[in-house]
Amino acid sequence: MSAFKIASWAVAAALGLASPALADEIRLATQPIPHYAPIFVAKQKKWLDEELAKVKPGIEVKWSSFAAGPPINESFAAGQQDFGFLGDTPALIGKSVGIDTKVVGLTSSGPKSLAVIIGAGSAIKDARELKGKKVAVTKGSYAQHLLALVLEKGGLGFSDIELVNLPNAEIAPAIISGTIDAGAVWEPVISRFEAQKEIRVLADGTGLKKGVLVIIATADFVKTKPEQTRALLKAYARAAAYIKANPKEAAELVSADTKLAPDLLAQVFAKFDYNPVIGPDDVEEIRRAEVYLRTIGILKTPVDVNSWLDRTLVAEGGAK
Amino acid sequence: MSGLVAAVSGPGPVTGWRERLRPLRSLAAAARRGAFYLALPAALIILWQGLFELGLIRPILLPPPSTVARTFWTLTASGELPLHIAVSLLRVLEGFAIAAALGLILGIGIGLSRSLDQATDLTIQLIKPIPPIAWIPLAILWFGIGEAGKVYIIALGAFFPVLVNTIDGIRQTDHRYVELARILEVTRSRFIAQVVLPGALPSIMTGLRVGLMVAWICVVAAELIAASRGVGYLIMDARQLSQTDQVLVGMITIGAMGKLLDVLLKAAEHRLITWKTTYSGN
Repeated sequence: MSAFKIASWAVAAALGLASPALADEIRLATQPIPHYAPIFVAKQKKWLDEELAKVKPGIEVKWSSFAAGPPINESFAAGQQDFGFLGDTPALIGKSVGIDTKVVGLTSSGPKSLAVIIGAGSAIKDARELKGKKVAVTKGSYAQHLLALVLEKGGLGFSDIELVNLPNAEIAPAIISGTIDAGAVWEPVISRFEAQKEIRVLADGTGLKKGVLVIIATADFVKTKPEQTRALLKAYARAAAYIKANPKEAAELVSADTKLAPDLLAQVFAKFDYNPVIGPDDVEEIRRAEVYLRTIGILKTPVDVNSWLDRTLVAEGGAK
Repeated sequence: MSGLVAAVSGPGPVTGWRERLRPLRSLAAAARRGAFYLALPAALIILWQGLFELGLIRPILLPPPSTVARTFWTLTASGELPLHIAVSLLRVLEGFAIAAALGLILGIGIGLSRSLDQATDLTIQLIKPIPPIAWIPLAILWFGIGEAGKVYIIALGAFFPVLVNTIDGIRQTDHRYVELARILEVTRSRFIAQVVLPGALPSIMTGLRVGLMVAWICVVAAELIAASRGVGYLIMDARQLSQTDQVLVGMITIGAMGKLLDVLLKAAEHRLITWKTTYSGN
């Protein structure tokens, strides 16, 4: 080895040893869907890093992507995450089995962002005709609650249908191939397959379920690092306002993160209210979901929604 | 006879207290053996509950035996668990029957025919290492999400142990018997029926027992294919709802059912193989 090489190795080693102590980390568990678009906007525009740097420089953001809420619960249980973005249902389930979290804000709400869909050529006209049919949903997701409410409107229960447990992404293809008759799904599946004229919406959350999704954080993180929590919520609110003002640009920015083409995504944005502030009707929605889950036996221990929600952090840092 | 008894048990009355206590003594010996058998599982359960009581393990990561027992009871009382067990058992037996039939026929064929062995060896060695889970995408494409796909996965898993052990059993026929049969000019069909096959029977029974075990293991993999009932489905369903206690109930049920089936096969083995073939410790 030449003297130059040895020297450069030595310099590199010295620099490595002289670098500052290991930076703080903040670990986010996300899902690649339009419901969480603001966090991706904040990521792409570097607003999250900006707001965190105001609190303390050198905080590193670690991103993980999950296919649905239940795997996020697993990751929280293993102590691997600080923040999570998921539906009210899996968040409640996680809290009830002992994952110590707090809801610090809403990611979005949107009654039109979740729906019970059927094939475009299907003869089914209303919920009553779902009796005896094969209906798919991701169990433990907030779409399961919508399905229950839609069935209830048609005078049916889960025992009147053949429930098939499928991941969100597989439900529309299964309807198209004829293996199942209907399914309860959330965006981007609805817009993507509606655009292809393969499916149509039987009933969405309008009048039934507001489709509230939440930002959870470990109770420990909220207690020890409230400033960083507020910083994240501030970045989120900033991104939410940006999406409202510039849907086209925002769609271009996060099309890859949310797995939907920009023009469709811009349309889908209209279905969501991205304001992270938790309003009283949102509290009511979450409480209603908690009661439903307990009634059907999914929640074994009740969750005290009031103490679980921390509405103060986002009110101070949020958009309104 | 009484003289012999007296010589063995020493002087004293002919129907002494030793003879009267003999049945009690064998009962005590059996109890001691039973206790020895159960000692390790019992100790593990007590340790498990103890760690939970001391607060050293979080219930979501590993619920205590008390919670698992309660969930077990609830599921059994509501009839859910017996239903799931029955559904899975049916799938396992169907898959195993197919695997055993094909494995035995092909195994005997390959064991007896050198040319068949050479023709099929490479194909079998290439397919054997592929785990049943890797077959799931193809199974769904070919069979859809109904029963056929699940039975296919189970049969695939159970097939190779049966095949391999059958071939091995036939290969292991002692060459001295082969020589003897040649000298005595025994016909090939008699030789196969009366020497090769009975000699291969211990290996074949091992293959069947392992195959049945693998079939049970594959049930969880098979029920990943859009199942709505079954013990594997129970585990996956509980996982989505973060109900670790139900996951454990499912796992324990599979273990118990596997043990039960093994006991039945061992009993069958006892009936068929009346000669001693193995070493079983001191």
